[in-house]
Amino acid sequence: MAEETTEFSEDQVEKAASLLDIRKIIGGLLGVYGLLLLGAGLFASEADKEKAAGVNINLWVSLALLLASVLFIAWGFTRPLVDELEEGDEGFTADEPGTRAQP
Amino acid sequence: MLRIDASVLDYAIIAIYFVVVLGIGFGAKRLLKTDLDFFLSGRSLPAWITGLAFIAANLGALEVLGMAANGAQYGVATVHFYWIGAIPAMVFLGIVMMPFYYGSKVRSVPEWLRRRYNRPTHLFNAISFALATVLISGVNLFALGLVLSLMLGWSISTAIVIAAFIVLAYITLGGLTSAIYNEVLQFFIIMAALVPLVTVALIDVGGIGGLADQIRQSDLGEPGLHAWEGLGIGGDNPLGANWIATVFGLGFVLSFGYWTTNFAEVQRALSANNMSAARRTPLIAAYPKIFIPALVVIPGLVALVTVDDFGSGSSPATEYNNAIPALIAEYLPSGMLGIAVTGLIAAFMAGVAANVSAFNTVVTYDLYQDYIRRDADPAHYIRFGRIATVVGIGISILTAFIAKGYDNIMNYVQLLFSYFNAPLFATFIIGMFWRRATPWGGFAGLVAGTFGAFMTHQLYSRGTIEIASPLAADFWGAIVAFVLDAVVTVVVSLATQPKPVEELRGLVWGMAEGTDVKLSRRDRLWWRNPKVLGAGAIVIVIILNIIFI
Repeated sequence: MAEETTEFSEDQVEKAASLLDIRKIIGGLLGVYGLLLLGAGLFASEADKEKAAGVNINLWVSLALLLASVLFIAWGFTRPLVDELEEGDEGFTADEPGTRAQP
Repeated sequence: MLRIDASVLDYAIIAIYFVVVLGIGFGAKRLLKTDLDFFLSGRSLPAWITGLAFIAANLGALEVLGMAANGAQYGVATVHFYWIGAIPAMVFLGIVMMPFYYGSKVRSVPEWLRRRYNRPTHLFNAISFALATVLISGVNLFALGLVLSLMLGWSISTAIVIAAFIVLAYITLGGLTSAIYNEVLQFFIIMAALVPLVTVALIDVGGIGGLADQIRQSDLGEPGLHAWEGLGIGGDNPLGANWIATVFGLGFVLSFGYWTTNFAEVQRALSANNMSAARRTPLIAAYPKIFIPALVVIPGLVALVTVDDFGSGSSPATEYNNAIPALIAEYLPSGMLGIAVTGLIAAFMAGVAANVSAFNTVVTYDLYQDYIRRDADPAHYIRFGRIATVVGIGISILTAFIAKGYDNIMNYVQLLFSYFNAPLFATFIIGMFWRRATPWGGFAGLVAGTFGAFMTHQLYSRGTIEIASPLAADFWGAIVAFVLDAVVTVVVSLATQPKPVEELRGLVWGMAEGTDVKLSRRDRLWWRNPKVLGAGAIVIVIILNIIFI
């Protein structure tokens, strides 16, 4: 077996760049579920509401899911995975003192 | 009634989930280059991903059905599993133990034992761990089959085969990365299922106050609302255990044993991209974990007061294990119903996948590579890992039917843990903190401890010794296993030759490696400091214990 190192190799950074971004996948799935529930919530029958202790639960949950979806997708686009890794990489290569005072 | 009237919308929600899960498997396959990618995600994942996977790996049938069953059966005292058990153990793992795991670059928990002790200890543990993981993944598979058959009317075997096939597909395709990515996704789906369910259930029973009033009038009564009341020696409490059994048996031995030595959990942290992320994995997981009791104990309590004859087991809907499915059927309309069933499927599949991905790693690295074929090329080990996955899933399907014999899944699983994890924890702690512990001391202790747990269970189930509840019997089994392991390890160690200190580098207290690596600028932020994160979790738990005393 190959001995591994704690430092990031070029290979790892490159791999991270092509990593699936799970944040966008989560955001996408929650978004689709949010839209489906939004439909169910808008056309909720009285029986549906009565079942859920008088709450239009589909409508409320759909709003929460859509909000979560937007947040995940926004996070995925504002901080791509490759940025996080490159910043992690900096600490290993820069020749500044190891543990400096907390900012 | 548990049978739900699932609409096209609900089935669509379930189907979309399956498609996404398989898609992640295909996506993760593209990233595979080496065996380390397949078994440890190439040690490349950020802490928030490994942290969420760390919780989701455990958020399976055990948690969703078992903890709700405990909530209904034992009341608020169930929080001990979290606030005395899981949280302190997770903090300990992150702060104290992770440097030895991650810093020594071991690829599995048994591998640490091989380097610290010897091959017999390693082999014994690798085999018993492989056995334990398939048993626990079988519990999850069975739970999944049972719930789908009760709720959707599918046959149990159809449901088990479909779920097993999907898990098999995404793990053989993408290895651990695919398992972990799916676990993160599963965590959010489970939350989307349980948070609305608990909210609706609480509104229906008149809020927290209304629920408390109704619990006082139920069989549980006032003790059901407190965590510590009646836990004195000889006191009367629903758990049937006194505070020694609870704090030492459940808290110290079982929980620390589970969270710190169970490779299905530790593997998530080993896949993190650096030491800081590995240490933060269990700490990040600790925060959501603190509040999960609200999502599982409350449904248990609501089921107790709203479902007629709940706990009598006269029909599936009145069995303790089915508290959450019963509430889903009771409260959720089409739409949310689909999300909730998907949440259950996600939880159980996470439980299967976590155990199977740990199983294939241990079987490949610790059994195949160490004892059968060394120095093959990475592609060979990946191929073997895929075969091990198929075999692991196959055995899980068989073990699913063993789980059927137990009325409260949690009791069954705690029994397994008392066999496998409790003695292991003693062997680990002594090995990490006492350099004099010898290879054969470790081996003898581990065997003796496992035997001790087995004997306690035998004596209890034959009625030779009396313990108030099966759960308390498992606590005591764990204590016996731990003490016997520790005593035998120490005695045999004093009589045998220790390892040269040089061979213990990176493995024992005071000789940790990798902790002095320079932290990146972001990892030096105060809120990324493991000690700060750990202390924060402990403070919250202490406050909650006082509130619910």
